[in-house]
Amino acid sequence: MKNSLLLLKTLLLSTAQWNIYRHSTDKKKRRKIALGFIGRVLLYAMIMLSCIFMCIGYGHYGLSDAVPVLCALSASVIAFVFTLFRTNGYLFAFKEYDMLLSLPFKAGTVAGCKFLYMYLKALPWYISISLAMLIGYGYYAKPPAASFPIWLLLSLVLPLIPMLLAAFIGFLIARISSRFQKTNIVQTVLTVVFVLAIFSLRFVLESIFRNHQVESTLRSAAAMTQSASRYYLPAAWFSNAVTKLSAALMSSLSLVLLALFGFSAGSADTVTGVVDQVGAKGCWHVLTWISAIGPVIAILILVKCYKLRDKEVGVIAMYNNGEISKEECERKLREL
Amino acid sequence: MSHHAMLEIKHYSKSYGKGKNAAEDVCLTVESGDIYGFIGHNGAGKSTTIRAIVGVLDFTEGEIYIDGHSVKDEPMECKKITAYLPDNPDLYENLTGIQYLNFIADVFGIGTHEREQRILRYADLFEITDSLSDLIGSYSHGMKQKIAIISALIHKPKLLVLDEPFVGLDPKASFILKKLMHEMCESGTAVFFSTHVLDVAEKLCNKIAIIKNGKIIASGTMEELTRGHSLEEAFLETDDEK
Repeated sequence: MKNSLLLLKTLLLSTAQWNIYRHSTDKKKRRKIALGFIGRVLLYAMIMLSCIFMCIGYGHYGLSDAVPVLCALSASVIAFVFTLFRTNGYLFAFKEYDMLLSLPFKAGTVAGCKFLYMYLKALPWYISISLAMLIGYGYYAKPPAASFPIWLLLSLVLPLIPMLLAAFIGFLIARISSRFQKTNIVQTVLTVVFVLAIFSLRFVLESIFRNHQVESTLRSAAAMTQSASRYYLPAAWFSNAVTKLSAALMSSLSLVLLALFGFSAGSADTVTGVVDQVGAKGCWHVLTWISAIGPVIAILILVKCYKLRDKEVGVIAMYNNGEISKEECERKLREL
Repeated sequence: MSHHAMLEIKHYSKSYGKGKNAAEDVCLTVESGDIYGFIGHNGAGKSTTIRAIVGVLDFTEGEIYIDGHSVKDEPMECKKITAYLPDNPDLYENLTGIQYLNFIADVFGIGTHEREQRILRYADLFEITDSLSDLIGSYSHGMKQKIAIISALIHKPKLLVLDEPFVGLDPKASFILKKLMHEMCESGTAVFFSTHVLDVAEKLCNKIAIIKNGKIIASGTMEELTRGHSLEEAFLETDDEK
């Protein structure tokens, strides 16, 4: 863990523009870094403004329910595309490979830190989109207060899913392209296709506005994003968490607080249909102890049973790579 | 307590598929206190062997042991006692020299006081103390090489593995590096380095191995191989025979 944090800190420092600015004596370079910083801030501001206006459009036509799914999809697509195009050069063929692998770091630690580094470097993009859409959604949909922290928390976690998928696909592309003489050809083709798609989107958007099709397009887009959530489950989870889970959480919290701080039995004389004193005491015990003990048991089970030891993972990885047979794998696991 | 050679390579082979062997049945032993020269033409298999020793490259066959620990089965134990200097060190260009050295010191768990002493000592020897707070990207090739050397020596490794270490170093720095290598060997460290400059190997090494097309064609002490002739003559003679 200590080595992982050290490596992650060094990776972040090794590309931190502020570190270059601080220690560089080249005035041109420092000016370039300062301008780059201003440019990036403006870019984030533009992205946030366009997201807010998009939410205003959705909200204006009463389609603000589609905004959580849209936010999840946007962040996911950006995470996927960014990771896919950086995976080969950054995760598998990086310059300092020999230097890092000769140090006492496990290969898994290096890969994990590089993946986390990619996530942290792209996080401002995801957060700017998510925050902007949260503002727009919050203004029109007026969700409960618990939605806001849940939205932000899930915005931090959600990009990891498409990133993992993109890293896997990137690995496959790297493996396939390494068999060809010109290994970059696959990546070049993908880049061209992506750029063409972006350009064609521009013409589509222009025709929507020219033909006064804004409302119908928004309605179709809202319907499409809702149906997308049926296939891309993380988007559905995000939406449910923000809209339903927050309400459920508030109810549970209220129940626990009620049980702890103020449960008094109603008198059968004054209130009809309420349990008597013995029953009231029973309810109090059930509510309090289940709320308190349940999570403790769940945590114990998770810690005890769902943690694979490093050595077990290593043996399973050897079997997956075809280095040992199934019988040998099972024998080694029994010995551990 | 059984004695281990500091570096033991047993029947190491590395193939890149389609019958192309980068190294074939390489066997050699480096004891504590040895300065072992690994000599060969360009593309002979020196860097491939060295990268396998330091755990950067997988290998097809054989075993490599560092102080009794297998590189395949106990890579962490091997890496903790080994230092590697590649022929073209890729350092983090946007870190300062001192930031990079502190990173290496943190990896090996060197205390603050110790690291300060060692960094200052080596930086003074190589005359780069004033440049430590500059970005590595602003260094010349020779200065980057010096930083890489300091980072290799800072944790007092038991085995120092260098790939063409004198390329790009000025004469004074080369002299200092040779002096440091002797110093380390006197305290029990083993040094294993590759070179295609025979003069350097002749003056520095007590043992050498000659590799050609991935195979060891000669190995042993300097006296055994040269038999009173120069290393250049011995190398050319061996090269012609094989």
